[in-house]
Amino acid sequence: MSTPTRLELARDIHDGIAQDLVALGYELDLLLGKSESTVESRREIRTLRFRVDELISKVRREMYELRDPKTLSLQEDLSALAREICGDQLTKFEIAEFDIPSAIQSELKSIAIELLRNAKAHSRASQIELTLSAIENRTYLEVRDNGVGGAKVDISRLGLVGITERVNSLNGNFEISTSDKGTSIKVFL
Amino acid sequence: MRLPDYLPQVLIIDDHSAVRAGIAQALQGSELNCCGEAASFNEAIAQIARTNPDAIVVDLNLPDGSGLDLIRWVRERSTETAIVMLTMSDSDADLVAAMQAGASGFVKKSAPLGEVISILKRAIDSPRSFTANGLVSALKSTSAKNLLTQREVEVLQALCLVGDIASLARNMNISESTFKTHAGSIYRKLEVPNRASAVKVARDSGLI
Repeated sequence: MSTPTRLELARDIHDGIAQDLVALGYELDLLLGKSESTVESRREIRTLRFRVDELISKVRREMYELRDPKTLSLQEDLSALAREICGDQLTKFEIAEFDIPSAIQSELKSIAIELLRNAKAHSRASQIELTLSAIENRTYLEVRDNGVGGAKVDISRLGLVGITERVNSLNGNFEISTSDKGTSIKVFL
Repeated sequence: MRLPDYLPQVLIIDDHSAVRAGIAQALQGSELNCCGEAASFNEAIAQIARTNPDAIVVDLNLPDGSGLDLIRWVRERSTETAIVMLTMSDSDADLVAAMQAGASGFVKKSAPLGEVISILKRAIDSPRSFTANGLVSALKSTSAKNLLTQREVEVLQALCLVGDIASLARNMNISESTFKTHAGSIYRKLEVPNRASAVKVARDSGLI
């Protein structure tokens, strides 16, 4: 997609979906303010309001990604996210500049975020490494840590199941190797 | 002097009718009266001239102009009009810009209607002050640039890169302890506990 088209789309989203969601949220606020509503219905309305808020944030995030050409590269986006998630534990970071197929970009980003979060939350590692490169026309992603490994994979199984599903849906491969010296997870898409 | 049963007159300026409708409905139950709606900069100016509102709620982005310009236009003509900027933006810079343009309040569109109304009411009570949730952190982040020395800005920018302190210091050709001294001074000035928070401030304030 060319840049002007992206910018137009960003503006359309802004003018359309995001604002409609704001108005929808306002309608829920007004419903909440009505005295005749029951405790049960108010709870349901609050849940809906929360979901609308999440959608507003999501649309807004996507809008800014489209609007700001600086964040268009997945590589740049990932480097900022990795730093945010892992902080000082992110000790090695190798992201090659190559064209990642647009069809896998958003899934790849979600997978990388999940892997980094898992490593940060469960591995007790002092070092987390992220590698993204192209190997034989495929996209290769690896998250490696020097944490406790082993049993920790069980705890993070839920997250890993989600990742496995994502990888499978893109006909990719997924490899885990883990020991008491750390964990390495490799994804080929 | 306002009569006791006088309801403050509010003009709603936003190019999205559904958003205007939500706010207009909320005004009804809040002892405020919607005196009109405008969907553009020019329409807003015509409505202000016609209705002379006590307060306006104005979107940052209007199809034919900027909400900030409208705020300045209103503020030049009246110090007593309450002006609340309502925006999709969550940028600290926009909040500070609204304040500098002369707004009395700032509220994000992601905020619930109750917050819109409470900020609007405070603005009406005190149009020459400024009310916004997150004002303090916005001021801190936007003033980060002024607080830090040039060298500290460079160290802060380095902290935003990936790598441990030793390698960052090496890249800047300074010793690790010098780097740490700068970093400590940055954390203190920005009132943040650690590198991750400092990186966040650096991003919010446009230093990286």
